[in-house]
Amino acid sequence: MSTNTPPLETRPVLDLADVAISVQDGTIQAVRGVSLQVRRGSSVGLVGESGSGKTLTCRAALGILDRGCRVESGTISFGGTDVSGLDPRQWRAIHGRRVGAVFQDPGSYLNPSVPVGRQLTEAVRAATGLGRRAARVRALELLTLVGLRGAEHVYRQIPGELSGGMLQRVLIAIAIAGDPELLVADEATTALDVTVQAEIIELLRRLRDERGLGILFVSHDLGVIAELCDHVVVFYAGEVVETGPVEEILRRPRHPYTQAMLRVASLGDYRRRELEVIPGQPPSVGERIAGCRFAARCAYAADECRSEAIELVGIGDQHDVRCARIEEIDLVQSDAWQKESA
Amino acid sequence: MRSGVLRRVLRIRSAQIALVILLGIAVLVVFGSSIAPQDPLHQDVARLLQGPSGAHWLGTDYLGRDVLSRLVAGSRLSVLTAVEAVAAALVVGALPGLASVFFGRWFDFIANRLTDAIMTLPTLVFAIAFTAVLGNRMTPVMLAVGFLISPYFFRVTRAAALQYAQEPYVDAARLFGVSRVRVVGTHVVGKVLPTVLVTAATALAGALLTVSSLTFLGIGVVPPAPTWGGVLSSDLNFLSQLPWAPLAPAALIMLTAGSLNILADALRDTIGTSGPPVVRAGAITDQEVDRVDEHPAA
Amino acid sequence: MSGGAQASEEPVLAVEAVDVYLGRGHRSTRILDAVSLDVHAGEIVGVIGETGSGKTTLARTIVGLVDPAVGAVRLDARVISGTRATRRRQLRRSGHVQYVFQDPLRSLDPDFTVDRIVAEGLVAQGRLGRDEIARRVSQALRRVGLDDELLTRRPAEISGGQRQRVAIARAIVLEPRLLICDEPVSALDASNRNKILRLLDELRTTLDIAIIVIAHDLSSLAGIADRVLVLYRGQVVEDGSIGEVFSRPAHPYTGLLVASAPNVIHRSLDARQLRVVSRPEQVDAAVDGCVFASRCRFATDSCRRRPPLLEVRPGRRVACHHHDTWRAEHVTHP
Repeated sequence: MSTNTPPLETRPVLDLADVAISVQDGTIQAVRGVSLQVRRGSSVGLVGESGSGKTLTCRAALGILDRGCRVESGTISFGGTDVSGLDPRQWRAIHGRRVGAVFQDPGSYLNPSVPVGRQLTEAVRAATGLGRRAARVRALELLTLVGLRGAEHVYRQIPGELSGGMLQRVLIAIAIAGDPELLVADEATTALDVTVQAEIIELLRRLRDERGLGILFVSHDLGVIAELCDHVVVFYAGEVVETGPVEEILRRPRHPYTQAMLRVASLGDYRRRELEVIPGQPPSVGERIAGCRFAARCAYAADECRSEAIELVGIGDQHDVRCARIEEIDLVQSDAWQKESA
Repeated sequence: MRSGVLRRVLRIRSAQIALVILLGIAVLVVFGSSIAPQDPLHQDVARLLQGPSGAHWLGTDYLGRDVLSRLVAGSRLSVLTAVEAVAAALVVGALPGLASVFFGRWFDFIANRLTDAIMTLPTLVFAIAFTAVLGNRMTPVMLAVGFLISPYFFRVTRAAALQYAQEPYVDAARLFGVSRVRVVGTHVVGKVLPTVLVTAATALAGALLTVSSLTFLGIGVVPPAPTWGGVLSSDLNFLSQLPWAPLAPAALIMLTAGSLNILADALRDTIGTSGPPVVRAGAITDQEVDRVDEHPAA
Repeated sequence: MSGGAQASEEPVLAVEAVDVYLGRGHRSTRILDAVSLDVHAGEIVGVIGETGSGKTTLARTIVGLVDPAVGAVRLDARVISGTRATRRRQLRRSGHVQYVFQDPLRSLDPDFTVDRIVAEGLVAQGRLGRDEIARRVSQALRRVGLDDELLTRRPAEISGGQRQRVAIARAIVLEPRLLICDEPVSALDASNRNKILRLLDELRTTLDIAIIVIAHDLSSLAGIADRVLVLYRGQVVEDGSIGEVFSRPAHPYTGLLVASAPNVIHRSLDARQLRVVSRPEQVDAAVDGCVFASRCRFATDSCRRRPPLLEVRPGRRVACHHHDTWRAEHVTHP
């Protein structure tokens, strides 16, 4: 079980190819053409405004779409096996063993009257088939691994006695109880205090680096993604508009929406200034738009942007952009980096 | 009251049926004696305890009176007395339930202890004892019944009102200097009402059975006034001659009570699902950053 | 810098060393401990605190939903805390102090339409006629950037950003002297957050009001606040102008906050080096010691005594025994 040096695997743990998701019983196409891969030891961040489809994509990858939502086309595979058509029972074999998940509100995923250690032990037994005693030992190890001091003490506490950050650590312990290859975290740090959020991000980073865990991290906050992820997928109105290595995206965003997002993101400086905004509002989920979905809010939009669908094109090392005017609006450095270098 | 509740209730099939039945009963209550095919008090000694026939669809009773007419004419007394009881319970229970949210600890404490005490009294026995003191009249008996079931209204109303009174919009209204009575009137009553209605519908069914039980025992009603329970009891006395006779009054009582319960269920289910709609998928849900920590026992 | 603190002028709001307890009897706990705060007209002051810092209680104390056990709250030099019911209602109906609650979805009655929500305070005042109220409601909505077409919608039928604007409109329609916003942007994404912050920035100058913005993180204050007050477990650990406090935090807790805030550029402090790795000694056992000692990397024996909130420079206060030395230590320990 020790995976201090993760085997160099080229095959991605999670592979989404051209996935489209419909909501409201197939009447609304909420997400289209999403392709992304997560490899062991890497972390991929999905970022976008609410309603952009990042959470739907992540739930589809977990096989936990709500009623009325369906993967319409494309394939989702774990380690090479296609899982898009699995039924809930088959998914259960994957959950916990191959993929673990944590969400925004850790408290609601735990039974409030049962000590967290017992719940963790249950998860260990379900995922590994260990005996009661061995599972308990493993549970204590996991509690220590996720950075909870005094594991023996925490083991006996009920959820109400732990803070939000500690609960999220317990949930992470449960998620990795079966030593999965992938951890999916959907807004997992959003409701936490800033100092606690930073600690959880560090924990995830450590699990990624030391255990070779692949991480799919969903957040509306580009700053959080920047702290944790090495690859970013930017969602806008149900589509991937840009994807690439985090440094690249932050330094040289090529899609106007990504640039706009960087402009409104936290810069870590608190001078009085006129704050940047992205004018307008995103289109409603599934709205039919000819051409670029961001055109209505884009400062660079031209006629060519509004006529036909724009393809996602590769412009460099793993860097893809969905913009018709990519050639013309090249080399526009993000304001943030200009400011910093100034 | 949430405008959509009624519309959504009406979409439920069982509730539709229940409502139709209750409308029929309501017609009986309003027009009872005038639409009864025969005089419910008319005795025909020539035709005692007869089975159903063209002249008497549900047969006659031991005094030769038309059973159908007695049931139809008895609707008003049976149902209205039950309504009386529930109305009394609403006044004695629901109003203090609302008030206890805003009148401070002492009021709440006393009201709670009183309801605890009332809840220990057995309804039927207490009602019977009441007639011994006040005489055998229906209204005081039903007021007594209402008083006895008022704790349920108190509890339900208080719980709902307490919940809604903690909502930040109630604080917001208080901060505008809106008076307590107005705050309750505008922000709380409307939201508590559906819950109270559910209780009322259930209680009405219960009260109907209580009325029937009491009239069955001959309490609260002076013969020969017809009531559902009265018909039932007179029929039971002659079970050996007419074994099927109690079916009609019993069915009527059950139908009404059952419809009320179904309606109450539908109403409750609808209210349960009528909270604020979930924000669309993927939305960042609002954070409750330190409310919980700072107001643990608010 | 527009609307900065004018020291000579009388502050609109003065919170004077308030202690606030919540709960009764033996369960009563001190939530605020000697908290002081001044806000001037046209100024935005940020109050930063995490879970359990008491920031919401501070807001509730200022608006009079909670009474301080010690100390006083003054509005334009007149005490407004701990008043009797009649005076309190009179104060509330004046509309001078307005509170924008955290979570607009819950602070707006779901059964009310927007016009009724915004009008509620004016109706409670009972001074204006129906037409005048309608006129002011629509003026307030325009001021926060909303159309009249929203008037007949209910809170569930508008977006999160619009709800927050409605909540602000409901407050400013009463022409307040002081506006307190509790986590006004925590539920919004970055672009909508900046839109609301810009709106607040605009309102302070157009209406010349004092604004307090309560937040759990720094990004909710970025760009608009003049001064900031950092609360930790009910105590002010540091305050001063926002630029100074965040570019050179004088309290280790502020340092940790700054270092922990996720941002897309770089940071001058490393959160990992500010965190307690293993507790060297039980400094946290001291009841009357520094509130932050148990989480402080730089705590020493002297932190068993509570550090006073000292004015280290004009307009800059900090409560730390080591405020002038810990940064050097941070730099020398890799």
